[in-house]
Amino acid sequence: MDSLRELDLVEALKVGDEQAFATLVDRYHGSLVRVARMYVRDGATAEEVAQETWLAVLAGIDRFEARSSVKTWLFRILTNRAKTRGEREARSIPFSSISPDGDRPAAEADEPIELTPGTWRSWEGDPEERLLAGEARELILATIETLPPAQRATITLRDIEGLSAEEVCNVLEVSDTNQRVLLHRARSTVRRALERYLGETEND
Amino acid sequence: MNRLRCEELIGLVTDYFDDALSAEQRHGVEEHLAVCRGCKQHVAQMRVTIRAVQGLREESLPPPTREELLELFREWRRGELK
Repeated sequence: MDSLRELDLVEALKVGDEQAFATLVDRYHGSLVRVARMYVRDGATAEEVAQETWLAVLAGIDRFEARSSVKTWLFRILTNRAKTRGEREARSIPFSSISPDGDRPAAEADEPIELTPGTWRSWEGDPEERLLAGEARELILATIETLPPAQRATITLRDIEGLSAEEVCNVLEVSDTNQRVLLHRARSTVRRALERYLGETEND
Repeated sequence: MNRLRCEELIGLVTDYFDDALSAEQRHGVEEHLAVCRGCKQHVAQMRVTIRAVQGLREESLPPPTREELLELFREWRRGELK
């Protein structure tokens, strides 16, 4: 999104322009709720966390500086709050399980290496169409929800919400390398789930 | 030059998509993909996976939420929110 326009929106917000607020809400609220939902138990709580995020934004708007983008700022507030809430619900393990040096993969590292080549089946044609038509939607959501929190956050922000790698690093405060490791593991897990799913439904 | 092994290639897929490989690595990946059908399929599956995940993005705001948020905003503007 053009960041220049977004800075105008911030300026307008500072002087109480409702239209500016509505524009930001329309642009981001749905994303905020979806991302929050990945941390907390239910939709109502996710909605609450997103609302709190807007209140925090309004409370802090005078201190907002153009150093980070509005989007990054919003998602950072959101993920911090959602994370805290999720931990309180004892659903998640702490985000700090990402190693402090930032470049080393977290504890979830030790996954078996994937299959040997040759057993990979082609998804071309029918399987691909089915997956892209949203047939496995619930499965994908459920799979993402079982991922370790840092992976869950990364795939949600990158692939569902469409943030850039750089934005995700800023939001989650992880290194570029770590971001890609987390994304890679998350996507690999989803791919395996889809592969199993296709294998099962084929035999029906 | 060392031939890239399949396991190595699989580990590089995300970096490859993100264009985060060195020129040499990238060359290695492309060379491998040109001759290895299994890896080529794996890469294709990863692309489908990403698009399927991207497909979860949708839904617009239900109007009550929007109205509620705008009401919060008005309260804030009136200085009623601390």
